[in-house]
Amino acid sequence: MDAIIQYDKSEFHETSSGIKISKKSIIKGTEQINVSGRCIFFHDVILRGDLAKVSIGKYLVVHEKVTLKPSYTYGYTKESPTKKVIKFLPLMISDYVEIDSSSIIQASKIGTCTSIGKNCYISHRCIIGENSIILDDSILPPDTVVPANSVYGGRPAIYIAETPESTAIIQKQKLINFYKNFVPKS
Amino acid sequence: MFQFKKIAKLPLILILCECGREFLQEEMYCCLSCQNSICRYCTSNEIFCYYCRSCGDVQITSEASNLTISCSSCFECPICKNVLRRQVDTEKNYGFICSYCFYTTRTIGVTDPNFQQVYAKINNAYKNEYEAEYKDFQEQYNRIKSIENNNLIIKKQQKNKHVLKSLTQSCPKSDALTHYSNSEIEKIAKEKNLKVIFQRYNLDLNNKQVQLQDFNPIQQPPTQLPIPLGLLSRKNRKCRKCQKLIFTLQSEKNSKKFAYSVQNLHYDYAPYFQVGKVSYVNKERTELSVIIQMFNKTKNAIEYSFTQLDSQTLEQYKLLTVKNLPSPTFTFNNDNIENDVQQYQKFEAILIIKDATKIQFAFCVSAKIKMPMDQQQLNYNVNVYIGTL
Repeated sequence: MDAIIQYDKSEFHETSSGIKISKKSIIKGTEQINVSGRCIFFHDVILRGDLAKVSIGKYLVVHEKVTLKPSYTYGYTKESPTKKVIKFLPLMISDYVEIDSSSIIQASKIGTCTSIGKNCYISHRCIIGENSIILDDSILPPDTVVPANSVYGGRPAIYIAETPESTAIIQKQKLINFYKNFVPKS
Repeated sequence: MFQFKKIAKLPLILILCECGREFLQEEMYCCLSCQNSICRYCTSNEIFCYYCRSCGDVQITSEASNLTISCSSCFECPICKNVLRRQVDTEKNYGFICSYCFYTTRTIGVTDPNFQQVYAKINNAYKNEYEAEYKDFQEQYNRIKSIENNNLIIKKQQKNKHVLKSLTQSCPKSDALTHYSNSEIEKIAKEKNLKVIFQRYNLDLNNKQVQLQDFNPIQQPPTQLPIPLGLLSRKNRKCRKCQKLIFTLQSEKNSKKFAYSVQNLHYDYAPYFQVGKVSYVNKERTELSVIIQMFNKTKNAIEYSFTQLDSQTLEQYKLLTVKNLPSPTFTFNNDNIENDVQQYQKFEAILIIKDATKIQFAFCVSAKIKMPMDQQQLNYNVNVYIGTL
């Protein structure tokens, strides 16, 4: 029995595909944002779709005060072939991901069935594999690759342990139940 | 290995393994030949392959048996243990740099315009640094071996004299002489070999607390060599009693991904329990009613039944007794698998809470699965934790 969370209908937008976004969140560049459905964005979430493409899977839960920003590199472009210029890379978040409060994410890819803890800082160009867990208060330095089925934590984050084979099942159930129990006040 | 019991919120349903440990339902495995549900500690691991956690290169066990259990192309920062990445100077010299503490190999002098020669320089630096120690150790090792061999010869000669005496004096049988085996010496030699040349990180999280680190890179001087990255391993699981495979891996061709060819989770062969409503029965609040829901998440039909635990185990673990455990067998057919409708069965357990401090109760379950060829049976104990009073 998971706890039922009731919210004010006046504080959230709800789309036809089941996306629930708080009115206090800041979302820019909606043309470049592609969300599959059944996602929840709590208040004070910042989503920067104006910098690069953002593609999000289903059953994503983003808690309070999270910033989601695409990552960047230095490179040459057609417009400036001699000088290095900042290029923003697309952000890809797969299905069944949970991002806890007050964390900053600039990764390039987040795999399925992952959970990211509170107060985390995931720097640019990080790749997080599937079925992995990132513990609270951890900092992932730039260009880190988190392999699948692993637990990372610390400052800087290092490999701590392996996750069991059933993490995908546990994470899917947890997020499906969370979405079902996130219900408007009657 | 990580355990989800630490993160999970109350109310919890845990399964008690025969070894006395408790795990979530999803974390238990199922051995069909032993007809029992087992935890990770009752299984043994068999290494399938080694892989690098940053570049993903896979080494099969036969190749890795030459004791090169580190990646040839990836290195770790000696200060903060973050994976190093390539750096190019303005003078087009390649080297390694840490993106967290800014350690560089330039300070040591390990840079080169040809990137592959950077690896050679690091390997040569290791050999030069540890070569003298390694030689000293080898000499000592050889000396100890020669001494022990001499001791063995002396003992054999003494044994022969003793045997001759016994034959002449008709003494009783001589006791077996204790040999001094070289296995301990070989173990120490192997460990030192590996320490001298490589570093490995094997963390066991069984009853240990991992302290998360916080580095201040300014204080530590960068004079150390980068450490070759240790490889991680992917494993198959076997039951310890019958040695049959529970989880086996299968690598996909031309990719670094793995899939499971055989997976026997407890989840796939047993009913899944969930706690429903919890409410007081009396105004005096001496009895609780807990609704327990049973789901069938397998592909086959199940028959299952409940039994009470012994009074000794109830007293040992301070568990509450369930007044009204249902006695008949439940059957669960999977008629509506296609429709996505989750059917469940339930029963209402009534507990007496008069002098209790914790709300914790348990019962036994035995399940029969109606598979097409066989009928498999599982027996296991379920513990339910709801909270504290």
